[in-house]
Amino acid sequence: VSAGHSHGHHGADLHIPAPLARTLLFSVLPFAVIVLVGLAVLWPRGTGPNLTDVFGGQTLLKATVVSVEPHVCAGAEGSGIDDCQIVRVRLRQGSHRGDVVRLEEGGSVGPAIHLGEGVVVGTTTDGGSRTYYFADYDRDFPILLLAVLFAGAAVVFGRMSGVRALAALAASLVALVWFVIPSVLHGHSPIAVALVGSGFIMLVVLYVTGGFNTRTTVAVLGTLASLALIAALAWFFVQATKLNGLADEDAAFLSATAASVNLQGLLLGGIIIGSLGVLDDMTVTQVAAVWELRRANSDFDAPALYRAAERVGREHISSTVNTLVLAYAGASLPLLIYFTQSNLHVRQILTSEVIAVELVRTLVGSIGLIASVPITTALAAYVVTRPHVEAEPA
Amino acid sequence: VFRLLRALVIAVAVLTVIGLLALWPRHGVEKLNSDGGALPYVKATVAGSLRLRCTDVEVDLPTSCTEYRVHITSGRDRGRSATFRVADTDFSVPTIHTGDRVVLAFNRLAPAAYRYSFEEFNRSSPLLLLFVLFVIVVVGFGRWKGVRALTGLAISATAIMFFLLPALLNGRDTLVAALVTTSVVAFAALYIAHGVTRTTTVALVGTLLSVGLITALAGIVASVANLSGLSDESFQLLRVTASALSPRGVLLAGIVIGALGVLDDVTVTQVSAVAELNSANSAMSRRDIYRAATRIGRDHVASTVNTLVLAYAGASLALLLFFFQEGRSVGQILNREVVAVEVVRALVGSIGLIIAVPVTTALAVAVVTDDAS
Repeated sequence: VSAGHSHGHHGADLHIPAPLARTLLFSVLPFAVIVLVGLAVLWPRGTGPNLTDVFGGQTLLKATVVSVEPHVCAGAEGSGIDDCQIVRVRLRQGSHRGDVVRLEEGGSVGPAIHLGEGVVVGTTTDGGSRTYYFADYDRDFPILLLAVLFAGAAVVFGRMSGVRALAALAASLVALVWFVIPSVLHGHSPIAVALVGSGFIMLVVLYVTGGFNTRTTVAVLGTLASLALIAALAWFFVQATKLNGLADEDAAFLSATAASVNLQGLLLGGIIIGSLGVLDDMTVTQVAAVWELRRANSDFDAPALYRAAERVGREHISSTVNTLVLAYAGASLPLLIYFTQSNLHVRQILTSEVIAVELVRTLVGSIGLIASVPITTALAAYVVTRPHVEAEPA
Repeated sequence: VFRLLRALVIAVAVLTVIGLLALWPRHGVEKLNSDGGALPYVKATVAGSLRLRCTDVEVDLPTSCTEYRVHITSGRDRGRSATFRVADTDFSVPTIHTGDRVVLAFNRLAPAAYRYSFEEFNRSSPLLLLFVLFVIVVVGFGRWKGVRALTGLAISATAIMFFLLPALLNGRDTLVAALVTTSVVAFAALYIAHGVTRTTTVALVGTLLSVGLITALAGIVASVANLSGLSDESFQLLRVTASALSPRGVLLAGIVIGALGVLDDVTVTQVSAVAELNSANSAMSRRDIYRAATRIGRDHVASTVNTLVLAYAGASLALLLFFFQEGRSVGQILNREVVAVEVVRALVGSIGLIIAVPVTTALAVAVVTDDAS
C-alpha cells in the first residue's frame, strides 16, 4: 500500500526496472479490453422481465406500532382457543401518511410485535376497502448503524487503504446490482456475465485498494490466472456432477418467472463471484509479503524470497482450507440440521444436489486459491529481484 | 507476555472441555420417519427412453411422459431392468440422458409403472474425483502443512456434524453450543495445522478475542434488527420437526462459525508475517516490525472487506435476482429478512476481521521481541 512512501528501512523503496513494469502492464491490458468489450456487449438494455403484476402490485409502507392489545381468538386451523393480538400502527409513508390503521391478524403463529417498533406494512385494495397487514420489521436503522460501524473500523484501522477498500467494495456492489443481476435477468449467459463482472470487480478492487503500480499489477496477473482455473474447474465439475441449479428454491422459482435464465449458468456464476473475494485476498497478501521481505532484507535473491514468502503462504493456505468450508457451512446451518434429522445415509446426503452444490463450490474455490499462491509468489519474487538498471530505459 | 497468553489459552481449553462434556448430546436424534425419507434408494444407469401418454399423479390429468428404461446397479434387484416415468409437467426433475447414472426411490406399494421414481443423479464419482484433486493440491503445495490442514478440517467437520448438530437437536443452548464448537474448531484448526508453537498460541488468542467480539456484535444486531432466523426455508421445516430449537440462536451460530474460517486466516498470517520479518532482519525494533506487519495486514484487510461480501453474494445470487425481478427498490430489498441476514453476516464478520489485525499483530510483536531479549 505504502510502496510509494518512505517507510523503507534501507532508505530506498523497491525499484522495478521500467521495461519489466511495462511488460507486466501490457500483459494485463488485453484482459482489461476484453472486460470493457464484454461490459458493452452484455449491458442490460431496455426493461427486463418484471414481476410486479404477478405480485398484484402490493404497496409496502413504513409504520410505527402505536398499540398492541392481546385478545382471545380461534386457534389456527380450528384447533381451539388461542392468544392473538390486535395491532394498530401509524403510517409514516404514502398518501394516508399519519393515519392510524389496524392490521389484519396473523393469528398466534404471527411474529411478535411490540409497542413502538418500526414495521413495514403491506396494503391491498379489495374493491373499495383498503386492508393493511404486517409485512416485515423496519430494519433500516440497525443495518445503517452496523454499516457505519463497519466503515468506521475499516477507516480507523486501515487509514487510506481502508478508505480505498470501501470504495472498491462500493464498486463491487454497484457492478453486482447494476450490471450482473439485470444482465442475467435479460437472458444473457450468466457465465459470461459473471466472468466479465468479476473481471471488472477484480480490476477495480485491486487497483483502487492497492494503487496503480507494479505491485498491484503482479497481484492482478496472479488473480487472473487463478480465476481462469476456478472457472474451468467449476464448469467441468458442475457438468460432471449434473448440478442443474434447481435445488436452490429461489432459482427454481426463477425458472418459472424468468424462463430465459440459464440456471446451471447461474450456479457457475455464483461460484466464480463467490471465490473472487478470497482470491484477491490471497494474491494481495502474497505480493505484500514478498515486497515487505525484500524491503526488510535486500540481500534476498528470488529463490530465498520465494521460500520465505511461501512459508507465509503455506500458513495462509492451511487456514484458507477452513475459510470457505466454514463460511458456507455457517450459512447453511439450518439446512445441515435438517439433514441430520432426516433418515438419510451420509453418502446420500452428500450427493444430494443441495449439498453437492456447496461441496463443489467449496472444493473448486479452495483449489483455485491454493494454486494462486505459488503462481503469485513466484511472479512477485521474480519481479522484485530483477537487477535495477541505472541507465535510462531504452 | 507469553505466559499470560498461555494461561488464557489453557483457561479457554478447560472451559471448552467442560462445555463439551456438559452439552454432549446424550439422546439419539429423533429421526423423521415420514414421507420420502423412509423409501429405499437404488442406483441405476439409464439405458433408453420413450415418450408416452400418462396421468399426472398430482392433478389426475392426462399429460405427456417420458419413460426411462434403467439397469439397476445396487440393492436386491441388482442386474435387473426397470422403468420409471417423468411427467412433462413435473418441473422438479431435470433433463435426463441415456447413460446417466441416477438414484431412484423404490416404493413397493405403488402401481407397477410408478414403483421407481427419480430421486437424484448419482454424483458420487465426480464428487470423489474433485475431493481427491483438492487433497492432492493441498498436500502437493502445502506438504506437511497441507496434511495437517486437512486433519484440522476433518476435526472441524466432525465437531459440526457429531457435536453441534446433534446437540442443537437435543435442545441444548444454541449460543453456548456454537461457542464450544467454535473453540474446538479454532484449537484444532490452529494447533493441528500450524503446530503447537508460541506463534500459534498468539494467533489463537487473537482468534478467540475476535470470536468473542463477533458473537457479542451479532447478538446485539440480531435483536435490534429483529432478525428472527425464520426466513431460511430449511428453518421453517425445522420449526415443525424440531420445535425446541431457537431460530435466532441458529442464525447467530451460523454467523459465528462462518466468520471463524477467515478469522483464523487473518490472525495466522499476521503472526507468521511478524515472525518472518523478525528473522529476516533481527535488528528491527518493535515499532518497525509492527509497522511492517501492519502494512501486510492492511493489504489483507482491504481485500478481506470484499471476501465475505462476495462469498455471501455469490452464494445467494439466485435470491438477489429474484428480488430484483420483483421490482422493489434497493432499500426495500435490503430490509427483507433474507437479505438483511446476509448483510449482517458480512458486516459483523468483517468488523471482527478488521479488529483482529491490530490486536493479533500487537500480541505477536510483544511475544517475538520478548523472545529476542
